[in-house]
Amino acid sequence: MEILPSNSPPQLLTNVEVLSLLKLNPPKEGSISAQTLGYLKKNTPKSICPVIKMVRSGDSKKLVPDPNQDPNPDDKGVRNMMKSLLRFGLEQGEVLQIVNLMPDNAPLLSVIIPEAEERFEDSEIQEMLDIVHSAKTTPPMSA
Amino acid sequence: SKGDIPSIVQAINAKYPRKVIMDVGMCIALYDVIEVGSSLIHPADGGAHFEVVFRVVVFKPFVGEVVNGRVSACTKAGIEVSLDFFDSIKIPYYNIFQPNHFDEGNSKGGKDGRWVWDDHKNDEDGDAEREEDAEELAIEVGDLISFVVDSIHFTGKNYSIKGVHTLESTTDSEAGSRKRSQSFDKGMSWEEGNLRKEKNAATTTCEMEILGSIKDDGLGKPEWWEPEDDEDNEDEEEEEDDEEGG
Repeated sequence: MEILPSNSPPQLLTNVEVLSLLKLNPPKEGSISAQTLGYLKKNTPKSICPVIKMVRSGDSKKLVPDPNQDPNPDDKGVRNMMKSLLRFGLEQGEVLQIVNLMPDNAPLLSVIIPEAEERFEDSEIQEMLDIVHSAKTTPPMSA
Repeated sequence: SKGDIPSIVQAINAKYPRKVIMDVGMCIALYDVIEVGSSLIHPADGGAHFEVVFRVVVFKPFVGEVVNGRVSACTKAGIEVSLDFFDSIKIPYYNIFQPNHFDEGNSKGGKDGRWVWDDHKNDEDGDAEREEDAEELAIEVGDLISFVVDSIHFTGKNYSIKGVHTLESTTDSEAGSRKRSQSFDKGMSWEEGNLRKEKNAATTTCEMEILGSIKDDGLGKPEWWEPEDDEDNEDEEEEEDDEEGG
């Protein structure tokens, strides 16, 4: 095995994206992918869990992911949250952690965003918390 | 001819999950297959071998990232945390909130003690900051906590009949510094080498360990940092108004 050099840095995936990938490709029970799926389900608020549309496969009664559906289904809660956070000029790692952790208090947000008190006003920090709270309480898309 | 993609996917998903790659992280699952080369047949091997270029989802938090995990052990040395799919996470005693004390409780040398945060009850003026009957701030086995990644260590070992070659790599917060150290120990005899071959034991292994910290505000148990209810604030304001009016 060889790690091939790449011109671009490794792509960072949020928990939601990995959860979506694992749900599209159901792992074997007991495998590490299944354990990862279990962890992600427990740590991702239900309001932003991506919902995979299922369709019947031919004549069989088995349900499979809809092949016409985008592999990363449009999750309103997360995408709106990321759009709203764009104007703050946050680093990629900071946005990743906000999406993964959905912080609901200023002390945790201050750990996620280094030097938050110097970079942002109190009102802007509160605005970020309100954006996260809104994403948490948005009802999930129906299947 | 090009390989059968589902078979290749199956083979990759059987081989790579849980495999730790030095300085890269722990493989979780195949992400996508980019390219499949032509098949090659090696001498004395009837199987077809394909060179495959693929991407894999890898778990490796960055230094400074905040992660949620569940406490699996509490000892005097520190706290061990589990993420269900990854367990090698330690928060050493010197990275735990200060001031603190370790309560052995009934564990008596076991792994289910408690780390208690002695956020002292009196502020600088000697006035009590927390109510006397306030709940103790402690971390014990089973608690969900937030911690920040302090450093990541990789240890790779290559076993051969010449000996064991160990390679270590560390990434920490000092400008992402990466230290590598190598050591070579003569340890494996000819017989042991043959035995390893017969048992198809891995000749190269790699492990990843994460060291974390819960020293800063916002870390530890999430409920410690929950904003106060608006109802509580209104009640306090009403009490203050009553006192002033009286």
